[in-house]
Amino acid sequence: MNSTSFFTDRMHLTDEGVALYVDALKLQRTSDLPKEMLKHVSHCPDCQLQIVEVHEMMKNDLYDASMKHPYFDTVVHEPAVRYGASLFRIAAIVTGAALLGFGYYFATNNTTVQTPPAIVQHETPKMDQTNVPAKEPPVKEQEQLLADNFSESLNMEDLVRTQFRSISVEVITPDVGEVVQQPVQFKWKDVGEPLTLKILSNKERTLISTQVTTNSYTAQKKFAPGLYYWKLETKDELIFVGKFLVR
Amino acid sequence: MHSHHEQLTITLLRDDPKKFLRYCQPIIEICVHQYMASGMFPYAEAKDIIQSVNEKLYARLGTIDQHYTGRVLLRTYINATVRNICLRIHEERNHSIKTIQIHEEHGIYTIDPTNAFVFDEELERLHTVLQLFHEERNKLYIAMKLYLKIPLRKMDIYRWNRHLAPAQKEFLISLFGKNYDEMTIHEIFAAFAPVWNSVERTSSAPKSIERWTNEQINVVIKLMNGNPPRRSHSKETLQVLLSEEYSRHLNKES
Repeated sequence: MNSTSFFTDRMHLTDEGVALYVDALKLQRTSDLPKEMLKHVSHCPDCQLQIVEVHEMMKNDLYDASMKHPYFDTVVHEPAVRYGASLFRIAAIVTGAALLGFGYYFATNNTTVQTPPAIVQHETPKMDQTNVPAKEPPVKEQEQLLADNFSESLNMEDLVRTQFRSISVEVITPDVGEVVQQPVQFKWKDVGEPLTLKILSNKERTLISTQVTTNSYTAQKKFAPGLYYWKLETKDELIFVGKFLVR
Repeated sequence: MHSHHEQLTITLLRDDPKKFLRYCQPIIEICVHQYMASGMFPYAEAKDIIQSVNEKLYARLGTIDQHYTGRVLLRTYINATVRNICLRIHEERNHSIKTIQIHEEHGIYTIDPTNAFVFDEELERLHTVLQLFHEERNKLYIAMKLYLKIPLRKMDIYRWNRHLAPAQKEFLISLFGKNYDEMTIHEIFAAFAPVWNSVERTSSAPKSIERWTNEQINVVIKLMNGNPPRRSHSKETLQVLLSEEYSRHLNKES
């Protein structure tokens, strides 16, 4: 069992998951619970019973609504797109791109200059002094951005490990964690009802949400290198969560 | 109890586990007594059981320290843990001791319609249970009321779907906003199905909506009663509860 997970390997809430739900009921903040937890509990009588029982045990326990809750008041679950934040991000990207371009320009110059040996001897020392230090930050930044794209989402990792009970679906491709070629193809064994396929970034942002009536889907979108999650949902519930990598 | 809860911290657990355990006593007692009330543990063995829970909890403090990530309130987490320990003890006793007689009716109480306090508690429990159905709770509530023939309120419809067409709202209120005892369940769901299908974007037959409602009501009753059962809720008591709730709303509105 992963200690950071709200779900056990047997697809039910952990003690911590149950406690979080009870906290939410006591504080009237169920809408702040992870969506997948809400969805699971709404269809799982076992977890419902656990929650009701613990809630019952705590019925005389007063919660101070003004107190900060360690989950609801600190975790950024699904941040709304904020104008300020977006501007900051755009500015950071533009700056990063400019620095990269700048670095690339000098790097390219360096290569071309290196071609005729006579000039290399003349130019190289200057280049080493000026270009190398200027080139380092953008590369690091780029590596960092790339690494960010591959970082795992705890919520989604929980779900990838979860098997969904009521309707099982057998996925043919991609395997969980597979490095895929583009265009990315998704295939599963037919479950006899229309499904919604969603593809999410590793930051849990939905990139594609589409209704599928067959048992396959080919994404036309070109994905940047990174880690992606994908879900299959019936009208009423989530039936599969997988992940794939684009290099 | 509340002050002790506030002192239940992970630092205390690490620095002074015995003191931590002392602060857990109210939680343990509530849990054990709750299960005694349902006949899961005999009253005569209260002290022994509390002792067993303490021993097991003490042995698990290290694991709690490892697994508790600080994302929930520690006191709630301890409540969930203590409950699991009680269930484990119950299982062990069931396997090893065969001589304890537990009567099925032990401790189960029937709802007394004249007891306002019990009513409040049970209504609150019902709404807690309904909250667990998350997005389906409002549709379940309305379907449940129809199944149990309780008049609908405008607010019930609004909560289910605030964008319902005025004609459909009017239809529901004119038909189900008053006493409709004389209608059969089949007639009720036959009339309700077109509105349901338009809101839920389905094409369910009245019979299947009725069946779904019946199944969900059974789940609600099971949750209301607990496991092992401490109450004896049935469709009838649920009907009494919802009917009383409706009367209270009427009184408030008038």
